[in-house]
Amino acid sequence: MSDRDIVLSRIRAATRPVSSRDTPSAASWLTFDDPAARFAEVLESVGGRAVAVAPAALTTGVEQLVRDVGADRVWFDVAQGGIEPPAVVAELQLYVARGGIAVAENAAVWVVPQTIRHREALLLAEHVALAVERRTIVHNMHEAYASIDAATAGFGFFISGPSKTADIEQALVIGAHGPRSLTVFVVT
Amino acid sequence: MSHGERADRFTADRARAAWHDAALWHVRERRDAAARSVPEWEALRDLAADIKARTLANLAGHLEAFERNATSRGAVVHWAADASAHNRIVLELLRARGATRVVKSKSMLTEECGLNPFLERHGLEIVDTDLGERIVQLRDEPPSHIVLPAIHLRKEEVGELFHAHLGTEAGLADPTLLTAAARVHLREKFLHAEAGITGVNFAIAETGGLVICTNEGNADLGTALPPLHIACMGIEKVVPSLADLAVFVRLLARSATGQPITAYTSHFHGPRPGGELHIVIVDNGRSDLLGRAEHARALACIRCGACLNTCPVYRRSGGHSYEAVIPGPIGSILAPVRDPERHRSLPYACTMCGSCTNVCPVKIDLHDQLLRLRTEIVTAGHLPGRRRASRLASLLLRSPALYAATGRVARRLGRLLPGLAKRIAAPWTSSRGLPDLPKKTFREQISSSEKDLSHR
Ligand code: SF4
Repeated sequence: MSDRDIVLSRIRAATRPVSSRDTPSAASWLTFDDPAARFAEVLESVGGRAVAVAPAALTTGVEQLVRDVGADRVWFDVAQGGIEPPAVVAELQLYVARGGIAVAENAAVWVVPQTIRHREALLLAEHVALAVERRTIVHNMHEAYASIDAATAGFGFFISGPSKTADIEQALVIGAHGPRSLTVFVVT
Repeated sequence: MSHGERADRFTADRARAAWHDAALWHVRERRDAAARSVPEWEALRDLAADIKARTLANLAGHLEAFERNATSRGAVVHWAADASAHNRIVLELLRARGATRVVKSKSMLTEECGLNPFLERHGLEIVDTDLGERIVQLRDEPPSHIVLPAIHLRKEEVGELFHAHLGTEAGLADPTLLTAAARVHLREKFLHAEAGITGVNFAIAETGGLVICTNEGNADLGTALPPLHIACMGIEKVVPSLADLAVFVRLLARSATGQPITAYTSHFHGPRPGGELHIVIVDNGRSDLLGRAEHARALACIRCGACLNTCPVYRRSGGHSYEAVIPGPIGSILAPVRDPERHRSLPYACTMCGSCTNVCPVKIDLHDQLLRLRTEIVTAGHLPGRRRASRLASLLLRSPALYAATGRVARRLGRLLPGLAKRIAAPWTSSRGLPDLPKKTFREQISSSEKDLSHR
């Protein structure tokens, strides 16, 4: 017998039917009067920063951020022909990408990198900025999973704040392996 | 050696033990605040427990669906009946591609299987990339906590370790600077890795996808750069659908560290373009646990660590005192169920306070199971002394006269020879005093006050 058959038959032999129990009825999930405000508040609490901008002001907002972090190696989430080796990507100071939906309860932004290069840049760049549309902010994770198509995305992740660790004496350090800052432009 | 004896080693350093206790209690308080921020928290826990129960009731079916869907998305699914089969599969995958430099993100399963030493014996370099895991790997010791692997160490010790291994300045003990040094060290490892191994937080039957949660972003870097991704999961990691996943994602980080969600929650459906994704599904004793009606619910565990953080014994005795892959309340169930002889002292380390059961996001009946385990261990004859003691106790308790006589003798001895009484109560008096024994027993007090009453 293959390990597959062994494991599955052992599981079948060990399984008991669940004694009939009432499935808890779906509670009413957490919602907010002003999801965008809640999103900004939670993002702040996890070490990120939300910046509300009008569509026309997005470019100036990004330019300001470039100056703020003093970046001269910046990439934008548009196809930029050619794939650089990771060592080059690792030199990036700022990476600006388009986010999908955002979640008010935990400041998570759904990001589906369009190319591999973009996926690693989201983690290797010193600073990351994401742009989301205000109207796409949902209240909670139940709504989030109902509105994204995680399966067909191939790879996608929720990003909530910059990378962090507290593995040395529980002292919070921002920028463990990934970016040291995360800015989310909330476009109204 | 028993849990108590190993705990003595940890508590010998009073300052460390006090710090450990306070640090973990703080994590527990953050968990409480996070739970309170969700009004439907208790309903979520009920729902999570229910999803797990229903999933376990058709586990084989869900795993087959997962395999089918993962395969149709281009992943390759492998099955391992035990730890050695798991290790062999991973080694063969790496060898076939000539990979010798491997990065790994946190996985308690690979810890359980002893994957690191196995691969090292075969000449491969395997680097744990979670900061805490890297620290304990460099120290050549197991993690002492399932979420905070290096919580037993002080920053000065990490400083010395990094000075020896990463060449940081002697005496440097600042967590920010030490983390920065580890970042540089691990970046190199990421950039040159030929394969990435990860654990799995959740596998989704309906879609064939995997979900991995980290704060550092190490699982993402470890899978975005090398061409080969090997994901190792226990059979219990499968959840039916993405809608079910939402429930667990809401509970996991809040229960673990009090964060609303981990910084990265990554969803892998199939390999990346041009890469390979291999998924190893491991049993290694889990199906036995599933067959144990009294303990099967322990399979619902999502490894959040909340029961460790809240446990008054874990906080004060440290993870290594359990000498089990998983310490704390859940580990005190998993280890003795697997090997009752070796881990027989663990269920007795419990105070039965029930705090673990109260915080568990999937509502495992932790302290009830620990109590049942004591009975099972004694019945199976793993603690002969205890069995004799309970026979003796039942003899005494059945005969009021014998009970009263023993009490009188014990009290007299206690007053005449306080040293002896202390020695008998030794484990209890190492850090607290023994109260003075009253002159009269409760029954004597009652009967004399009854006499007083009747005189009046
Ligand atoms: S038993 Fe419950 S509280 Fe403990 S680690 Fe598992 S899920 Fe968390």
